[in-house]
Amino acid sequence: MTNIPAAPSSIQPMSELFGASVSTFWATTYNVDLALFDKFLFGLLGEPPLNVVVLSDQRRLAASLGRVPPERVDTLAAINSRWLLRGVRLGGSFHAKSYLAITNNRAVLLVGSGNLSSGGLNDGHEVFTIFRSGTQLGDSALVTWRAWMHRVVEMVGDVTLAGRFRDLEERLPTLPLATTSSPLIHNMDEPISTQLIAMVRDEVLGRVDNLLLAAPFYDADANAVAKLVADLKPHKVVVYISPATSVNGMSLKERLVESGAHVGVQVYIPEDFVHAKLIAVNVGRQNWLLSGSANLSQAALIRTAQHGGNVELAVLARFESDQIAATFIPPGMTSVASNLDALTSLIFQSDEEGESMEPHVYLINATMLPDGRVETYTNPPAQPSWLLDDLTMHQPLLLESSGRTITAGPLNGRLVQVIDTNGDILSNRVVVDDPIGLTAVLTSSTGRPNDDKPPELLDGDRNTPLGQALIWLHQHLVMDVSERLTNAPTGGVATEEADKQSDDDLWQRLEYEHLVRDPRVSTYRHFWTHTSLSGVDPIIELLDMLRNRTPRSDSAGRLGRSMLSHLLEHVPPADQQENQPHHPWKLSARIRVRALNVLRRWANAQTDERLVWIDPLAPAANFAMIIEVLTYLQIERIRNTRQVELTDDDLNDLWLLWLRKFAGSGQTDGWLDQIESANLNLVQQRLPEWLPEAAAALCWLAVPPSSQRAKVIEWQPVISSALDHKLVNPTEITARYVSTIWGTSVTPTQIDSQLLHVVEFIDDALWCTRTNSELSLDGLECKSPPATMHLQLRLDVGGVPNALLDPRIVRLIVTARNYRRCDGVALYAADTTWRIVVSTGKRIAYLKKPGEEVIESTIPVTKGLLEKLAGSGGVLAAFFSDITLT
Amino acid sequence: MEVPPNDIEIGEPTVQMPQWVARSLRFAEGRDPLGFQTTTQDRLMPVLLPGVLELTRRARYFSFHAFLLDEYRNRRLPAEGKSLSNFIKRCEWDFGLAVQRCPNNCGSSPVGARRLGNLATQPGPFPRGESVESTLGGYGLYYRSPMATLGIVAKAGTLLGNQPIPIDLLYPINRATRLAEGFRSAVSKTAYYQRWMWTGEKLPTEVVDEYAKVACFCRLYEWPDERDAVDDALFGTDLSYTGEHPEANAGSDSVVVDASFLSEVMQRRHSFGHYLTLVDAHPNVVSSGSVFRQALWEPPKARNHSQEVIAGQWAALIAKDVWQEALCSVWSEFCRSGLKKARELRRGLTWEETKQLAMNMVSGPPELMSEQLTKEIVNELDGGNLTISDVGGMPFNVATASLESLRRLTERLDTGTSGLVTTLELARRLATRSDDGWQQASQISSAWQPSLVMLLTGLRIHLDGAPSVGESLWWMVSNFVLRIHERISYSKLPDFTFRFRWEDGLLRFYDNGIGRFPLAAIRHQGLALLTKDLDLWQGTSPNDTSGSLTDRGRAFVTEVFG
Repeated sequence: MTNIPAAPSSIQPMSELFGASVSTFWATTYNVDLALFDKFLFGLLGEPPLNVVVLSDQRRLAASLGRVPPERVDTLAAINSRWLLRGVRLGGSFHAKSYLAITNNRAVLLVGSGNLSSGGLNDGHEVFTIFRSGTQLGDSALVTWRAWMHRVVEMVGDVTLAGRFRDLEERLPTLPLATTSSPLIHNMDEPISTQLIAMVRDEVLGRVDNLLLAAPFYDADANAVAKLVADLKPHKVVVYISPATSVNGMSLKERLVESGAHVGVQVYIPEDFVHAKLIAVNVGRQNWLLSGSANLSQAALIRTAQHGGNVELAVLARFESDQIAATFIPPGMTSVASNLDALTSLIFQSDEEGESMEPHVYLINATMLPDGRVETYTNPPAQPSWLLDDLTMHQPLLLESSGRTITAGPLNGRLVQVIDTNGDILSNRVVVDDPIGLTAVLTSSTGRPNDDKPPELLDGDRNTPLGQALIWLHQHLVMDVSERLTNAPTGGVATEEADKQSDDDLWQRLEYEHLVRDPRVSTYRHFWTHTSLSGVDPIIELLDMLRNRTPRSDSAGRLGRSMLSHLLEHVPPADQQENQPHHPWKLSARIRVRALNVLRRWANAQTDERLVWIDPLAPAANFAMIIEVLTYLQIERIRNTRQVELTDDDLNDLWLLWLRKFAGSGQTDGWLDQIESANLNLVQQRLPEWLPEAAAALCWLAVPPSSQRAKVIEWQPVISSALDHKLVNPTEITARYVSTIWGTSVTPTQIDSQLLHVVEFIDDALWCTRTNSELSLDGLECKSPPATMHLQLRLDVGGVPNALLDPRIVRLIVTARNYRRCDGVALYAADTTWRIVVSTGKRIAYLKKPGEEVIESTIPVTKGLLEKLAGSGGVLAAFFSDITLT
Repeated sequence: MEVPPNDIEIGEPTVQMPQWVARSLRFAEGRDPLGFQTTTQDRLMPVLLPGVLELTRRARYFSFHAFLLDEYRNRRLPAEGKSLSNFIKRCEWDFGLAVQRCPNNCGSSPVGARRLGNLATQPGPFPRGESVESTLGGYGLYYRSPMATLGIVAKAGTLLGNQPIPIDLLYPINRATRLAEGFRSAVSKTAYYQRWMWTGEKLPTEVVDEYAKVACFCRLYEWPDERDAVDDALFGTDLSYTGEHPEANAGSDSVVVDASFLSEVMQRRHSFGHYLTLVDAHPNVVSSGSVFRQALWEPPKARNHSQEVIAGQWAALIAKDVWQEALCSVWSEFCRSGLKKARELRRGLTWEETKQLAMNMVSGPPELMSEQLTKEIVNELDGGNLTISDVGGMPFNVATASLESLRRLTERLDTGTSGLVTTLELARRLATRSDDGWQQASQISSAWQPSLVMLLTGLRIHLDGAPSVGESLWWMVSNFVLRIHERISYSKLPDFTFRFRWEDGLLRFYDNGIGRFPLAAIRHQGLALLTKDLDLWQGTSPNDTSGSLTDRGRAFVTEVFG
């Protein structure tokens, strides 16, 4: 431990925080001088992309905005348009004063007493502690601040703010996960005073020597001081006051006298208002110094933010010095000793933390929509009689079916409040968000994603037709929501702590807001408003794009009702294509792999529940577009194999994957299986009419006649499910398309038959596999039946130790008889223990184990008896009443 | 007080101790809180009198600086801006010393007088020094830009071929070379020029005095060629304008000029000519700013249309200054009242309180009623019946008073109502003006304040609404004071020049120089001294408080206006 080196004793926050290289600036403050920040300080920051957020106490901000006359609303133009302003309302006052500025490679954090105002940052007798990234303590303070801010953001619950916080985390320099003990403390969980006292008591158990106090505001009766004195039991207390110190002076005097400590009173000279808040505890040469936002009030020191206290930030440092008192004197000032009677002149005034006029309605935020209407969030939710007023005109607030509250018409004013039909003001005012402006400044873009291609693809893939097709799909459709989203930030909080604290709803809403503002959402609107292919819709746009890859002069206009028909008509003969100068549909192996990866990832993403935020039927639209691409690729490939190097297997595998994800495989695993019935009906109504015939073609091409049994079995559940969902329906066009590709004439009936064949195909092995799975057996195998006339089937069964008590045996017998359309069935245990023989009109024969006698049931099996028993979940033991079943 | 600890160590890392905040914003009074001076200095004067700055006052500085540039080049001193700057500042120091030791005790004040102090009164030899701190000295401050405007000097950076010239040069034209040669002729035989000018040694007294005898401002009349050269520099043009850059026309009479150059020469000639007609009509114009202003407002009958135009232009400048003075009275009382009210409330004022504050600024003098219709004041002015009390209680008939006396009245009264009455009377007097020069100048606005024409239009619309006196005062405050002062002050940060600003939704007042702000200078002294140096008028009273035109002066007026 060393003594204190001499160093500059003053700081210029404006110089430290504001400069042309700053790309991120976050401030927390009790009050904000909007004009100073907006007209001057903001202009000192860098160019976009710029992340600027100011969090201020909501009540104080509301009071400030409440005073803005209509004539001055234009001075608020940049607020919530170029930088984000939010009022924070978390129980007590939002009183923390912290300022974070980030340049490309460093971060500076100031924590202190000064608000974001000329007084707070320039001339108000304030103190700040500065932390810089890249230093051990600086990093630890930044980690603490980030975790604290994470919690503040979650408690505020504002998705725009959350989005900016996520951006902030990305801009922060890399910070260590584990840090040394942070000098930065807050009162989210534990009161500031508790932390101070605990730090002192770690080393000093008895009375402390000195307690030095300076703050402009106390609680009225100095209760916070009383608690500090009681806990620390100082020999001496020194209070620094100015005439403006707000406290009931008599109470403070009484508290101090009651403590039994020697009391010193120091009066600041000149008698300026000193806004710094300092508490020092001294024992010998050891000192503990608390600075920051916390006044000497109960709300600041004694309570947590979660239990009625303010939200405070402080810096707690321990050091050795003989000069602790010097830290209490601002430059250019001094103090003179006075006596206790000097305290009695102090008056408790309505302090900076007490200003509030609670409106009936808390207007949380308001957002300008593209059509000029304004979306609002209020607490409580909007009532039918409410209007939104921009100080010059007003519009009714309408509750939409989506749950959003939006004005009936446009409002131009930037400052809004809720009023009733009598014009009475119901709410606080807020500055309307301009999402386009905010996004532009934050991202320095128009709001479109910066990565305009799937991440798997390379820039060079833009020059390939398939790459362009995929990029078109990526740019127009949301195939995978996770492309635009990142994991919710942890805010530097340890994982288990994050689990405990994280407000999943906020980050989910952030994702929701992020997605619903995705410009690609409009594609789906167009998609569903053109239920046929007779208009300009995304399907036609995609076709146009594809046609551009195979140029023809007779560009198709309206497509009619059949995609396949269009493809057949507009794909040029192979001999013409040979001379086309365009890029071929030929992919290098690596590009092929990348394209397959993209399409597979997209397929797997269709069941992501978040996709419906884009559009309730988004997966259906995506499915239709993929069919369009696949049918195109199929026919292109046949026309000129070299044009499409995706193989038959590639295309079929992709189709199988997409169809399975969409229609399922009979295991309620498809998207259609998981949506509500109302939406299912909508899908069936709105899917393009051509889709079933195109899907039938792709299915037939995947499983044509003479397909191997394995392929049939692989496709069977998927096609079966697709048929159930009415997604497959062969037509004449299907037949023409398939014939073109297949090279021989195929009729619709043949296609129909083949697909039915696939669906209905079964053999003993397949039946055993399915039945084994359905009954959860350990094995099932068809064997040659015993040479007995009345037995047609023998099944070896695994995983059934007690056949007479297992209801699966009854179901197995019934299922087997139905499958084979036979009557006599012999069941053998796979472990060669028991055997059962069943035949109508005969008693059931049961051999418990080899070498024992065969036991017969008490009654013969009559027709329908076993079916009835299976239906009731019964067991065969019911027919063997006189034997021991265990 | 000991220096508080700042950095500490607690065994492991160093903790940054809390630090007290130091100011980043510099409090400054700001001399143009409403943006009126800039209207005059940056918009009107360059139009009315191009090439003459407020402190471009002595004719001989034109020839002196041309001489310095010429000598610097002829002696092939380093073609570096800093070297030239030092050279000029050293020579200005010596010249200033000589002027202060003028054998005629003419009392002229040279550039660098502050630095020279009382050096001239002390016995020599005299130490050497530099006139002023800023680059290129007094030349850079007061004469460089005018000489460039006059087509005498090519500033550093002017393209010579494809290359910018590194230092200021004289254009190789007769007007420029005559200037340099004129001063050189005067001083060529002095020891100063022959030796001391080029050394750093202390200047012997006799050297300075010899130099003063030929070089002081007051001696220009003894060097008619030099005087004529200055005259030609200010009012002449060159014979042809065919060159593209200075060096391309070396040795010719040509310099690159365009129509605007010729226009500026004509404008300058007209303004000087108009000034001389004022001197001719009102001899005290040469010494009295008030007489000068009133004469500009009510000039003698114009000799021709050109003079009508120039007179209209200058009259618009005077009217603008009266409006500025009137608004300054409103501003002044608003700041005083606001600061007082805010101190009473111990907080800033709400918008409504601010409005009430402005509407209640009616105690005067003249005392008015806030709810009284402004139209009643207008009617009294129209009828010539409005008489108000001056500071000493003397009655003052507004409608019959001279405009200058009206301006000075509101300056003395320093009240919102005097500002309102002055504005209304000004509007009354301007209502019928439509001459060309007036139209040209009265439409000139600045980035902050509207033009005179826009003010009058706005006032007419305001009065059409039958406002009360209180509402008219609020109209002046809200339109020309509140918003404009804030905008200007924000533009000046980090110099903190606010007298008030909206903070936390309240108008907070600052005790940061709440008094009046001055009128911008309108070249009164410059015109007087330059024309005197050029022997266009001569003094007719001690200290030249009045003057009469010389033959050269009358000839000049005749040449300009016929």
